[in-house]
Formats: sequence, structure tokens, C-alpha cells
Amino acid sequence: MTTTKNQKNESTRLSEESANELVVEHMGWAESIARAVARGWNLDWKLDGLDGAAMEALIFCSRRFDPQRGIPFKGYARKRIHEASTDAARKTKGWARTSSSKTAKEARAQKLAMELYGVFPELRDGALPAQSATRGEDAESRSAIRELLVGASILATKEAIAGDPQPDELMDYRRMVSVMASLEPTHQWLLYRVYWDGASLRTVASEWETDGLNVMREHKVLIAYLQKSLAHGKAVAIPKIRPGLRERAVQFNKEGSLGPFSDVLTKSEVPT
Amino acid sequence: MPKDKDPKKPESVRSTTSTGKVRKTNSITGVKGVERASSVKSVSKVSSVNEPARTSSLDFSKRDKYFSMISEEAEKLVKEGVIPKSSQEVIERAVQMAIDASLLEPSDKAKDKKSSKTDS
Repeated sequence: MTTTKNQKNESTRLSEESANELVVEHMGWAESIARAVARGWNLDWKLDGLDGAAMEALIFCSRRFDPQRGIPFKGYARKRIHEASTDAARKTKGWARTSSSKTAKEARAQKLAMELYGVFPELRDGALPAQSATRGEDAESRSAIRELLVGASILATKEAIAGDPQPDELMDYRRMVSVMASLEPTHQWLLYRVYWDGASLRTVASEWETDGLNVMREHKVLIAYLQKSLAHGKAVAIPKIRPGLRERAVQFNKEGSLGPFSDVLTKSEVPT
Repeated sequence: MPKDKDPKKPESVRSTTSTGKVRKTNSITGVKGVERASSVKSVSKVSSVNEPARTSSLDFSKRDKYFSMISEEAEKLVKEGVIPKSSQEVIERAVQMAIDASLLEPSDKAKDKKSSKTDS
């Protein structure tokens, strides 16, 4: 039975010859992804080995590509090639370290940018986070950029708490943690798993046995909430849990969890 | 003979040869006319509708525009108190890096189009 299934899988993939043709046709495209990553992080795409990583990923994808699934090759391979290129960038000698040519802020930004890909994987596909389609292109891009900035701010909070923040920074981070602690436990856990543990939204969805869209949409709502409630002098209603996550919320309530940020504040682990 | 024998239990069942009389059904004497439906009195407000969301593709020709949008929005968020002033530069730069590393240059896109033609 398994053999038949395997044989069926084999037969839907390309022959070695066709896969090689695919590699030749898309070589320039894969290199352009490696060049984009190098440009973004001020690296040399050849000297730093990004070209090799992109090529390896391209070859891998050509072997795994199944044309019968109806996904175009570029749609299938782009994220993987980008991932391979950023992984290669992370392995370079001077990655996220200060040097004569790189300030501490630049090094921190590099690290944050890499983490942003975990939270917003659509960036790897060359797209901004999804926005409502009714606003107009510019407004959509602006709104997506705001979402990215708020996401990066949460990541910066995590980094700072883990490190050795300055006293003035601590007040800012405590404020962010306090706002997150005001959320429902389920929402706190969602943010914690994604921003602190580095889990993807899809991973959280599968852990919570719910549809990916539930978690993705809830994440968007939470970012909007944080954005509004962190703005000075604005009282914002705490978001309700969407029906798709209620089962999980009941479980958290049964476990008596207040949420990771509430726990941190209760234990006063964030010094004032 | 056991004492607890059920007195109601039939001794045996014989085949039935006849049934009781079946009474004739009466004909329908009339159908009440269909009454008019009342009009909708009011429609309550819809609190939210799931608007279709779409991802917008990053375009290399808008690179500078994206960068200026990032600076403008970061500035606004700092003024609103959403982003700490102390982290503004790092956060702004991180978003710039993430977007820049996802933008394919136009010459590459032109090459893409050629290759996608050969795809088909």
C-alpha cells in the first residue's frame, strides 16, 4: 500500500532532466533573491556564500516540485530560497555583531529583521502583511508598515528584557508588558509563543488544533489593539476571543493560567 | 406450573383474516387564503464584517517610498507613544532591512518574465 503511494508520489514529480531544466531557467531568479538579502543586510552575496545557499535551495525545490499540485514553481520555491539565503546570512562571521563598520544599533536591527520574518512570513514571498482591500494601495502599504513596526517593537521589548536594558528603556518595556498583561490569557499566550518563543502563527494554530486563519486574524487584532492602547490617552476595549479560539480559552481558564505577561508582572520579574 | 405466569400473555397467535372497518376520508372543504407578509420594520447595525484582506506585493520601484513611509510611520508611532523613542532607530532600521531584503530588482523581474514564458 505504502509502496503504491510512494510510486504515485514519485510519478507526480519531475524527471531529473526536467528538474535540471527548471534549475537552469530559474538560476537568475534565485540569485536575485540572494542579492536582495545581501543588499538588505549589507553583505556580499558571493563572498558571504548567499549565492551557494540560494542555488542549493533551488536545486532542492526543483527535485521536490510537484507540478500537479497547481502551484507555480516560483510560488513554491521563493520562500525556501529566501530562507536559505537568510540562514546563510546569519551564519556569516560578522552577523549581528558590532564591528568597525557596524554600530550596535545596526547589529540589533539585523537580528530584529531576521525575527520579523518569523512573525510575518509573507515578507519572504515579497509581500507586505495582508490588509483590508478597501482602502487603496498606499493606505494598505502604510497600514502594513505600521503593523511591521509594532511587531518589531514587541520583538525589541523581548530582546531588551532578556538583555541589560537602560533604566529609561525599562519604563517603556514595562508599559508594553503591562498592556499585554491586560489581555485575555489566550491572547497573552499567542503573543508569547510567537514573539518570545519564535513559533510561527501556523505552528501555534496546529498546537491549538484550530484553523491557521483564526490565529492569523487574531494576531492582527492584537497588533491593532496594542497600537491603539499604547497610544497616549486612549482607552481601548480589550479584544474578545474569536469563536475559533474559545475552546482553547476554556482550557487556559481550567488550568488557571492568567497569561505569561500577567505572571511576570505579578512576580515583578520586570524591575521598575 | 410456575406461580408467576403473566395472566395477560396470549396463549397463541392465529393468522388474521380481517381488519376493522376503515373510515373514508373527508374531502378538503377549503384552503385559508395566504396572508400578506408584514414589511421589515428595522435592520440592526452590523457591528463588523470580515472584509477581504489581500497582501500587496513589494515593488522595487517603490523602494524609496517604502523607506520614507517607514520613517514617517515610525515617527508617528513614537509621537503616539506606541514605540519607545529609545528604540525608534533600531525598529525603523529592522523594518527597512526586512523589506529591502525581500525586494527583487527590476532587471531580475524582467529575467523572471522571460523564464516564466518558457515555463509554459
